[in-house]
Amino acid sequence: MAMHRIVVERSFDAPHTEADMQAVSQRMGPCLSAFQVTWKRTVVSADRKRVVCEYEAPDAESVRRLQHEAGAQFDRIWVGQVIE
Amino acid sequence: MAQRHGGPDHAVARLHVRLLGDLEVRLDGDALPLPPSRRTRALLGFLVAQGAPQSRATLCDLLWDGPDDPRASLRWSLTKLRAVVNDEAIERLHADRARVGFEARECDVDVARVVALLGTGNDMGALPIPLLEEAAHALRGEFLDGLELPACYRFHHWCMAERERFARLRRSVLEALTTRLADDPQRALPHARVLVAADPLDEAAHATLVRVLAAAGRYPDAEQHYDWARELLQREIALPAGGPLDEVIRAARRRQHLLAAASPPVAAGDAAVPASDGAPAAAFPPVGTVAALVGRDPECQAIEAALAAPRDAPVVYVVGEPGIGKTRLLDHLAERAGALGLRVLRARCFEGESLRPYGFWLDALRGVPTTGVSPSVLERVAPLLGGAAGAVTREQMIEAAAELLSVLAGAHPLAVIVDDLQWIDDASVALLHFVARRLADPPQPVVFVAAARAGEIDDNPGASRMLQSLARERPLLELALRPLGEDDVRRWLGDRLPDVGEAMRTSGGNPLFLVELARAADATASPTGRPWATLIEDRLRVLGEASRDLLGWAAALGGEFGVDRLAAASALPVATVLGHVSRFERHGLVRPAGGGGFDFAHDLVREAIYRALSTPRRRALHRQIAHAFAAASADDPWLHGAVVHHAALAGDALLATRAALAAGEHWMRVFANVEAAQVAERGLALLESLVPGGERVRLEIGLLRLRVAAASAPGGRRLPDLTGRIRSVVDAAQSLALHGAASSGWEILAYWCQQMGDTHGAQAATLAAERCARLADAATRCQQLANSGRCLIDIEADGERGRALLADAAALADELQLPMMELEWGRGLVARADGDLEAARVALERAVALARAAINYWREYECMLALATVEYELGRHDAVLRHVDEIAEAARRMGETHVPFADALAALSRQQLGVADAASAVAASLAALRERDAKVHLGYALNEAAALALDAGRPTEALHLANEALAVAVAMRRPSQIARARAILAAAAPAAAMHP
Repeated sequence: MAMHRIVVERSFDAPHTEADMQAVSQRMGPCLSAFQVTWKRTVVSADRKRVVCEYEAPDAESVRRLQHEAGAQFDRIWVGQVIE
Repeated sequence: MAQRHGGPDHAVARLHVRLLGDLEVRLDGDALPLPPSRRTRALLGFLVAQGAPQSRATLCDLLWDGPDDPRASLRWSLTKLRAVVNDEAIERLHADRARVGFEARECDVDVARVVALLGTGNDMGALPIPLLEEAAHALRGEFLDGLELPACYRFHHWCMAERERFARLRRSVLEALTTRLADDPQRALPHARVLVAADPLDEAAHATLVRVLAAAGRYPDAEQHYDWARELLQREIALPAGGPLDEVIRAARRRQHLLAAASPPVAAGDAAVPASDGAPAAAFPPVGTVAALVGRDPECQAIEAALAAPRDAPVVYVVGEPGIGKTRLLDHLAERAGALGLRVLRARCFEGESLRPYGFWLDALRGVPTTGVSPSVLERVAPLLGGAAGAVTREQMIEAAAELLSVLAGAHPLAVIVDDLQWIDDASVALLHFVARRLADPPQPVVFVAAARAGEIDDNPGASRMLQSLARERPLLELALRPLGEDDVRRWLGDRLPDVGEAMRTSGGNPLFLVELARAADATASPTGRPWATLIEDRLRVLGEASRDLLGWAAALGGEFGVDRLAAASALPVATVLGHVSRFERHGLVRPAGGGGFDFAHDLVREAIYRALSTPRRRALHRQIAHAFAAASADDPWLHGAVVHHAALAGDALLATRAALAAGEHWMRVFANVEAAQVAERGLALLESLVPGGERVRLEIGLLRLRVAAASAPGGRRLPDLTGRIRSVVDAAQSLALHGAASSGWEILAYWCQQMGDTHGAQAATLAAERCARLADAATRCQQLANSGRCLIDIEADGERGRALLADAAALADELQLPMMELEWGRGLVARADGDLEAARVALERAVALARAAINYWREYECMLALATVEYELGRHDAVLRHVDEIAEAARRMGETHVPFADALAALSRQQLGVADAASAVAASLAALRERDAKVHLGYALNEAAALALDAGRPTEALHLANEALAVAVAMRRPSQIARARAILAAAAPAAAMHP
């Protein structure tokens, strides 16, 4: 079935540390497969205050629910198209 | 501001009080001397601004919340203030046993005048321009500038709130002026500059200035300011391009392009570009630290005598106004002590030192040699040498500190020098007092020296009391430094000051001021008659933008600063910072301090630089410093106090509260109990600004534990009854299922009951604490089971396993008697899947109530959606419509503006109820669900819309909708939706074939 590329934008007042990222990914891990969501990659800004995560999922809402289930902070979620 | 003291016609008032800018009281035009105590001046500002009488308890809490006698301090301050604002005929300051108030009789108060000028401030467009200009002039200073008193947090919060109120008013006035003076840009220009200076991080203010500069025909200046502002906004707040600032400069460029095209060429050297209105960048020569010590011969002789016989030396106490030369005299003393073979232990105290207990000793003992000191002494005194606290008592630590000094004094006589004693913290005072007494019996060769600002020492009762106590035990040599005489000044700076007499009148014989006047004279500027801050500003102007920025960072740091720390705070490379700091040193702005760090040449210099920063800029600096220190506090727990200080100044209540708890816990370990109690109180006060929820409850329990522990430690103060507050936060913790925190709360209550003599209450609380501790582990396990089970049922992934997990969770929850939101949610979903809609409704209602109690907006939202779906399936369409509003409210709290699935349920319910146009609302909500890419909800809504179309005799439409529902349900692997879509398709196909 067709999977979409879903982009999650996050921003933080204080730099987001490796430990913070690890904690969120641990909370998210068990739900990923149940929601049919696959993590693709994460881009972190130099000051570590902005993070963009890319997932593959059947719809954007699944990714949105996953963020809430894992208690992950986000600003926006949108369906993207990869151009390389 | 109470309108009742809106003030009489200020032209006839004899007394004028200025609160905007430096606090000033003038009688018949002459400035009256104000009490040196900053708390006393702050009290005057507060009473004048409030107008209405205040209770004595409120005023004590506001300014003297400490272990000493606050009411006595208030009485003392009122005595000083009566002399300033009352006269024979008029008593403006009223005080009875309960209340104190200021009545503005025949008195003009600037803030009241501004409010009277501007009215409600809602329609500045209608006010005459001269009136707006008068208001702008009155509003030019910050509210109670320099009297923020960060150590008195209640007063500080009030002062900051008032400051922001007047800053908003100033901004409105300036914006109105720059808009309405669009046709007179020269007259608008000063107002646009003030607008930028008031908030350098406001893009709109920069845009206004660039627009006004361009309109005034000063295009190059507009470009220059644009470049600077764009770089600043990008660096400080990562502001993207394309906003109003860029629009304004583009418009200015277009206009300039048209003008250039229309004008004939101008010969080089013609005055095509008007001169800048900025002050000329005078070439101030770099000046090193002024080393001269003049007019202090008697003091030097007294010092010489004390150093010559350290064993019998008196305590030397240097006192005088700021800038009078106390530090310079201490420099001389330290130099002479070194020359005579004494070891010097010297440090300066800083304002806000109460957030750094033992601050004096930590700095004075830095790098002290420890050869010959026994390992057991070193272990016990380790916290004061920057090490970790071991398992020692307070008595062992301070005994060890005395022993360390005794060993040091045995090797070399010692000079212990405290500068700026008025800011010393209580823990340092206690240790200093103990050490001084211990080393006097038998007498050791140690000279104790302290310097303090006259008047301000009274703001620190602990330090005043220590001086009085020491004076009873050994001689006290008080050296009161007076202003320099004209002859001394002539001998010292006669060749640098063009008019010594005028310089004496301007400076009042204050050496620091005189040095600045001499510097300004060297730079050929006209120095006389200029205030201190202006002289400092002139010196900063030659430094360049980047250096001035960094100096602002250093001033915001507040005390001594290392290059590494300044680099971390400002996010600049260490090498860059080092280059700037070397430049500051050459210009005499900073000087080397202990431990390889730097300090401002004088705290007045730091204060002038800090006060030149706008309030938003200060906040931005403090915010970044707080975060940098918070990151470093994992390795250096002494930094927690600094984080509290900077985060509170930045308005970051959450970070400040977290740091208050961490600081208090660390300080309890090093026996700074008074400071721990104070920081706990401060944290508890900050809690009110935090959003309700788990973290706030955890912090409150931690801070209450700290507060109770600090009160029961030596030096603790009797607390008001905290039973109600502890019970209330324990209840909150239990309702949020925070069993670990609740257990901790019960333990505090048990301890508290024991202290109060309530044995029965203590026993009950202890049992409750144990029960909660057991629950904490089991509850975590139960929560995990329920969450996993509910999730599997919800997404129809593995229903069998989901039901088994929920059954395990239910058994555990029953055993623990735990209400569990996830479990009720899961039960509701299972009941719905089994077709028992009534049971599903009841369980989901319970889940919603529990999610609300736990303040979990997302779970409340999801459970509400599930409940509304069940209500729809029950045919209770009125209930669906009621729930939709609650769903929208829950979504709004999460930051979501649209609720397409709830809208779809509402539209379907309306269609069921036969509401006109409901069908188009259904179509719109389906489109919104497609747009949001929410396929599960879309599949459900498509199926229900198809069922309605079929019932209404529109089989072709039903086929179309059910086909889309089937595709979506297959994609999302939802068996229930697939089955429903197929059933509708099977029913609709024959009818559609008959009525295509």
